[in-house]
Amino acid sequence: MIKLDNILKEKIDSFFHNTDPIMIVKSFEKMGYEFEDDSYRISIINCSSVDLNEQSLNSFEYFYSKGLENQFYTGIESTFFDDMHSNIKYSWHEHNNCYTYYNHVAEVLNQFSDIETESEDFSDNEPAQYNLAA
Amino acid sequence: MQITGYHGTSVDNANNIVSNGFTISAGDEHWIGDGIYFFIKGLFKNPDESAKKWAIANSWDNDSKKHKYSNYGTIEANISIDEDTFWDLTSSDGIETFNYLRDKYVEAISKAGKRLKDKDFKDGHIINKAVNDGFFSPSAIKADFYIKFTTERIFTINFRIPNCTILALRNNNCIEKERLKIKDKGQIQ
Repeated sequence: MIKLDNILKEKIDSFFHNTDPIMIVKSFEKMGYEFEDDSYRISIINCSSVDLNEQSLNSFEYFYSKGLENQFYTGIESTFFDDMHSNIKYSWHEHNNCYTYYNHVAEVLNQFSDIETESEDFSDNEPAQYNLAA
Repeated sequence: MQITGYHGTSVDNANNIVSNGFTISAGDEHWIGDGIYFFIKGLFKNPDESAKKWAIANSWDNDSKKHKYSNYGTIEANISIDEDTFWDLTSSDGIETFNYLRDKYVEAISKAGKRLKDKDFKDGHIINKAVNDGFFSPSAIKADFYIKFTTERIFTINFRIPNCTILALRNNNCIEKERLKIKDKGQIQ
């Protein structure tokens, strides 16, 4: 009987570890499936502690440039609802150009009273212009 | 492991199969992947009735609004299954394997920054993909399934609770060809 023993599990894990995910997508496309971009949501989910890093900044930029930043915020909200992260790290504040971004996201985060957020003083920081021209 | 399976089709096709044997039908749209399909005992006691209902339902061509054939036939087959290569999707072990694979494919798609657009994943696709990717080579796959027969199609009844147990053979050597016989035949009303 076929069952998920250690040998099969290792075989499957090894395959997925060594195969480019894009190639897997392409193989499903050959079966007639169509895919759409989901990188914005993935970038948020991948931020396990909501480290708002370069990846999520890029995601924000992508959506902002399309006038769809609300979708980005919605993504953040649903992530919080789903996972109820309690340790939010603002490592992303180290990005010099994310002040505007920080304010927007902080506004969203503040809606969740049960999430403890670290207070950061940005008063000395120059509210940098977020470069959205790219 | 010995299983008796029932296959429904047109009476002409049924006679041809009894004379010449089955050929494996390929197609990702099939319920649990490529294979020769049978209705078997499982959750339900009358798999031969399911085969008949399927033969009748499958006779209808919705494009031309006509029957493709006017007489159905069901075949009874004795099947010998190699237990080592049997994928039983009615067991927790079988389901665990399927779900692990499914989650891995979905995870890979997610890692690629993609998600499916306007189409549901089909079980048969995951099964064929797993076999094609070389994880294992099942000789037979069994599953409880909800299949739309004539009534379900006419009244658009889409349930999830299974109404039959099916077996897909990916290797026709499992079938005792000399013991194939017509179980039932009749006119489609």
